[in-house]
Amino acid sequence: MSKKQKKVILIGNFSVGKTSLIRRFVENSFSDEYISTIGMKISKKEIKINDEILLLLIWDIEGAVDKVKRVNKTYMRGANGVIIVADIFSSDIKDDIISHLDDFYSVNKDNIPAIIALNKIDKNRDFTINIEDILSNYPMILDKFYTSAKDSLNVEEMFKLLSKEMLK
Amino acid sequence: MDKDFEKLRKLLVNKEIEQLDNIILRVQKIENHHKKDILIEHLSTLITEILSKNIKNNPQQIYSIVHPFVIKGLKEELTNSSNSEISKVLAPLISSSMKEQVHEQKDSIVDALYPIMGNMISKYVTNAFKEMMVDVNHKLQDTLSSQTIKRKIKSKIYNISEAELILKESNIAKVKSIFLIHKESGMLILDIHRDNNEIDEPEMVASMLSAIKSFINDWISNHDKMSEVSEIEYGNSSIIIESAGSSYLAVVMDGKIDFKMQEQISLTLTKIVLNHSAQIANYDGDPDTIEKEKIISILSTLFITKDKDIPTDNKFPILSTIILLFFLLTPILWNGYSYYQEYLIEKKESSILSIIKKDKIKIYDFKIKTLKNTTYIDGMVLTKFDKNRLYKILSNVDVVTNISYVDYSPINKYIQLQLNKILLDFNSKYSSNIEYNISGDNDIYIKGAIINSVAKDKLTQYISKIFKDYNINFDINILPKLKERIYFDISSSEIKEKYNKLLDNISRLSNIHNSYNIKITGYTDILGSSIFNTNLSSKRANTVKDALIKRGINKNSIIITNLATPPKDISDVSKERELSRCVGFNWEMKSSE
Repeated sequence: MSKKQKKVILIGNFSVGKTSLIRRFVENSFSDEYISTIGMKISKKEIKINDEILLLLIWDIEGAVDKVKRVNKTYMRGANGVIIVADIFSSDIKDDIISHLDDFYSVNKDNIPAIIALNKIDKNRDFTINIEDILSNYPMILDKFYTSAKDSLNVEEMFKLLSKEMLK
Repeated sequence: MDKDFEKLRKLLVNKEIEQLDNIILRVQKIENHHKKDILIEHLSTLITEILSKNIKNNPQQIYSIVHPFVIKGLKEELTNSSNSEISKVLAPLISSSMKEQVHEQKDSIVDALYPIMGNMISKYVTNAFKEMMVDVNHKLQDTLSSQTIKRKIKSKIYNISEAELILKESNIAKVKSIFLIHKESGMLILDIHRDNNEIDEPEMVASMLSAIKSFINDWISNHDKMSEVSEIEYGNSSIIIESAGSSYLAVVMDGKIDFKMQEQISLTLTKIVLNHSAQIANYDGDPDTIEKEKIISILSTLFITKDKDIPTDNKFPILSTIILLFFLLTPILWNGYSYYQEYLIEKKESSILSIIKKDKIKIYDFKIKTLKNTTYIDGMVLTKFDKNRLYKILSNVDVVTNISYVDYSPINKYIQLQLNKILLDFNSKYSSNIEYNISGDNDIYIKGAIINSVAKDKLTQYISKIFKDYNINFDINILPKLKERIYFDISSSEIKEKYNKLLDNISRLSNIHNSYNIKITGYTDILGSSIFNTNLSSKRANTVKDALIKRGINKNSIIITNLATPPKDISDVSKERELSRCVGFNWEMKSSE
């Protein structure tokens, strides 16, 4: 146990595809289903960054089905990185991203790196969205990625970029 | 002929032929347009009509046509994908209807589940018993160990069966694994395991445990702010959670944890926090930032100390038995000595327990332990009074007492209610103004002034009797009688100089007994009209009032009244006219606002 560990949080609305993204990235899940009572699941993945082995503990926090239900913010505490996952078919995509960012930074330090994953791009390959205003308001966001768990598009790249930043 | 036929045809079916021609024309028109969609549109309205008519008139037939397709579709949907649309739609319906059914038909659900649950439970219990029996057999086979001899002696002396003692031993807590976890992130700082039996994925265990812990704490914090999860039990094992600073310890144990062990875990974490708090607080997953070896050496003590109590797996082969017999005297003596020590400890502890029991003091979280010839008791009582009483009754016993008391106690509230009632009755009966005050949990102060000593004695006796277990401090003064009066000349309300001393005295007394008012009553002799006399007695009372105010008495502490008659104690009003022209003084209870 002499490798470094980092805690990564995935948050996003209900059914945006967080679990599928993790399933694509990780070969070893603690449980594939959410522990429905406590609304989260944890997976781990070892990755090699610059000859250094890093153990990622990925906390997949169940999205609220409706906006009234509260997501347990204590799970987000002490994270080293966060991926905000949004569904490209969502009508309020920008508002969703901002509300998750605010949730996360209300319990974490401002300098924790974040990534925006615009998921399900396989269903509409021509989709683009301008979220430059969000990126400029939240300087800790490293980048946005158009991702697809189905086609394995940008999943590995996204986690690698975040890991590199977390090791800095 | 042809003409006739044509005539006849026209007569008979001319209308039908016209209609037919019309239809043919329309169909041709549609065909000519080559517009299938128009045709479909025309027909589709018809089909809908036909279907709805048929559903209405012959539902059974429609059902038998559609039924096989629905079933087939459902089957495919359910087998092909575990996360089908149908499951998504049905899942909430099923769970809510199950909830409803459990709520409304609890008994029939229990009946249905009982055979399955019953089997599961009995299987679990059987397994647990099997494991325990293996352990017990193991100990019985180990017939010649020092532990066994000790057990046999103990069994004879305490008159407890050997089997019971073995069962007790089987249940001794044993630390299996220790995890030191960063509290905020849930990341594992380090983990150690008994006999280096490492477990798979300790980081995942740490994270999951933290998630469960924060879930429970988050839930509890909405209900009870003081609590935090401290133990998770599973089967015969438990995870003891001890939090401090930025980290927490999760200690996985077999068997029942006792007070001693709990304390040791807490002390161990305190030691780690004291020496390594900065590194732990800043831990961000990099193991090189932690002084691992030092922390492990502290944590390892949790394995070692407990091992002393745990009977080891010593199997004595024949050779060892001979050697043992050779040195038999030594272990017997040693066992005798250690038994004697244990006996003394248990005797002492039980005598302390009986003393406490005799005095009927209820102690919460009571713990008693003896370490190196010193006996310690810990716990909590309701009141300071109970605490003092406990210290008093244990003052002659050699014991280190560490008893705290709850600040707020229902007993205190009870006393307040009692005293309120008693004093309310008393004050209204004797026009007195006695108050109480409770200090700490066993000191009651009764304070005030009262008209006469009979009433005072009554009150002190009554309260002393009711609250005999408490420390009561009475500070009750009897009010001095205000017998002296100020006498006036005929028709005069002027105060003579000789009364200055009396007025000074009254003003002094009023300041001392400031919970009472001074009542001034003006009187006159029997001569003169009643209007004149009323004015005169009022003037006399007011002059005295002013004189007292000048001497520093608060005007709110003075009540004046006046009568156009002599005082009642004047026996011969016609002769004692000089004594009638006066002002008298009395004490009167202040009305409570």
